[in-house]
Amino acid sequence: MALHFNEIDDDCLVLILNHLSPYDLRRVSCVCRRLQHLADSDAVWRDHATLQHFDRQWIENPKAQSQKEQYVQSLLDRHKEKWWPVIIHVPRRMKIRCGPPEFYSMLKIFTRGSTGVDSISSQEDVLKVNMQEPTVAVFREMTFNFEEYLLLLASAVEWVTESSPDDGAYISIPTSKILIIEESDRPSVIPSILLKRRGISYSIEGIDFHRFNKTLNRMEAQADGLNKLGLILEHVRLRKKIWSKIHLRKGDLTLEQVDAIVNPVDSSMMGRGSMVSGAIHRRAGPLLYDHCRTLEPCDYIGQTRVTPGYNLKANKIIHVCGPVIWSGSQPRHGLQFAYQNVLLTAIEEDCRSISFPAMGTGSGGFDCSIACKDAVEALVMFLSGYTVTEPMSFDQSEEEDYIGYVRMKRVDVDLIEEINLVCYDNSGFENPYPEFLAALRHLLRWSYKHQTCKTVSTQ
Amino acid sequence: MASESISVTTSDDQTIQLSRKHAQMSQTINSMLEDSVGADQEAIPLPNVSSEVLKKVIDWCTHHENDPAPVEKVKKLNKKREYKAKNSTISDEWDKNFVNAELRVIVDILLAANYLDVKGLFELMCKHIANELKGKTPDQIRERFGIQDDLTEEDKAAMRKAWGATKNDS
Repeated sequence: MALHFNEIDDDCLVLILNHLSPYDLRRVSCVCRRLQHLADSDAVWRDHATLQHFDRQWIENPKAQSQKEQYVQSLLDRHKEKWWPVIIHVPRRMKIRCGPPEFYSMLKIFTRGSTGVDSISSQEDVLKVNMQEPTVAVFREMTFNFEEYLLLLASAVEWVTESSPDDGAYISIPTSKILIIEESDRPSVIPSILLKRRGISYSIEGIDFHRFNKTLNRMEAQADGLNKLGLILEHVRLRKKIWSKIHLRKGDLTLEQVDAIVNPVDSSMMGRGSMVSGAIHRRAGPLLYDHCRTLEPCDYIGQTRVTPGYNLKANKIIHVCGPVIWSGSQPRHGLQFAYQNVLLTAIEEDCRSISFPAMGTGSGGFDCSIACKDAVEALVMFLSGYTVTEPMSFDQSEEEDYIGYVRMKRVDVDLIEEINLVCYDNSGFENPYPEFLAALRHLLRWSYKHQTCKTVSTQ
Repeated sequence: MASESISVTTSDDQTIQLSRKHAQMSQTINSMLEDSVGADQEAIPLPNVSSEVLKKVIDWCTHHENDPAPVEKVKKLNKKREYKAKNSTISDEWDKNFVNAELRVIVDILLAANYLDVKGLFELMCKHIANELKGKTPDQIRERFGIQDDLTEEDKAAMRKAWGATKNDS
């Protein structure tokens, strides 16, 4: 039998090997010396090396000595820089033990035996996570470190380790359910949400498209505040940070022990009366009133002035020209801008913790649910590094309700350590606490349950 | 006007008649014919092809005689698409039956197709053999093709290291 194979000359064999994938080539090269030599040859690998990237220019790697090395190198490079979305579908209330061996084999799927496997094999801990409902999570991954990966994994599901450490529930990620989305030029089967993010097409193997699309649509609907997948992913990564920073409580703003509290005023900077502003003035004493008389009036909604705290427990008061529903063509925009401008001021004034009242819900005249939703969105976006775009750019726009964001430059949002949303009980207006909670749950939807147990009343 | 049939002599000294159309599917015979225009009627010697194999080749040619000529793909875009669509599945049912033969015969046809330069047939055989190699472990390949294992343990260890071979690979 051996004779048959030797009769085929090298040129023919190369043409035969050209039909094989890199994965098969690897096995063929283990057969015998002749095949090893041929399977490593440049002629076989040239196509793989040059044509594997469809979405970008192929760059020759100067270090690689052969086309095969070229391929392996570019594969590694690609994995380093590329987001590799993986869909994990988790059936309802399914509990399967999943320890390191399973993760290991999951990684095998990602890496096809070439890189990154050793880095996690030493992990011994079993992640305990319990799923409340069917979940689709979109992860990036390839060159993750293990912790980051687990964090991302955990965001697919309800995170219960901290609330019930002895629950004993395990994460259920059957490896057979892991699907890798590969690039292809069949745009018909692509969920639009992925297209938006990547600008490239995908096809998905072995997936129930109807169900998949339904779940994705639901996910998209849930996330309409941060309506882009990219933002969702970023959100996932930042969420743990964000949820530890935003606190919601019922209580009295004037008793807050923070670096700065926020006093929403009208453009004269002289807010008085029965609102939050009046309460602050009563508590802070007449010196604050005298100070405020010396301040210049505001030019625009959201402008801030800073005074000392006087008799308050807070060190500083940030007076902000509060938005009112009848001011300008973009009242919601003004509201978000006010929140974010206060935070920017706080960073300038070196205030690490800050307490907000529910701006706009009192004499501002905003609908409570809209104001709370916008407020939370503004805070989350700010902590994610985004700020609302300039109000004037929307004047001519038809979409009056549209709020755009741009990424901030040169602002270190990590300087803000604590943001308190304080809902004052006795204002006579609708208490915004439930609305705030709903908004927070909406935007930090996987995790805010965890946060609410920390809520303390200062009254 | 040249005659409609051409006779060739195979390695086992048999003379076989084949139609001009089939003969022209082979680039080798075609160029021989062009070289000897006018002075033909003499059997063309094919020392590398046995009559048995030639009959197979003629079978294939008969079935595919009306196929459109393969278009040369020159554009890079096409090349990419080709790479992406690169798979060695044999789509034609008749072809599937045709390759369902002993390995000995397959290799002979491959060599004959290479010698006679029949592009479609050669491609088909390449695909078939690639399919045979696909998804098999090195051990299975050795068994199927009767290849001697002449790699040393060091070679294998080095390869395993380079590729991070899995348990399934020998």
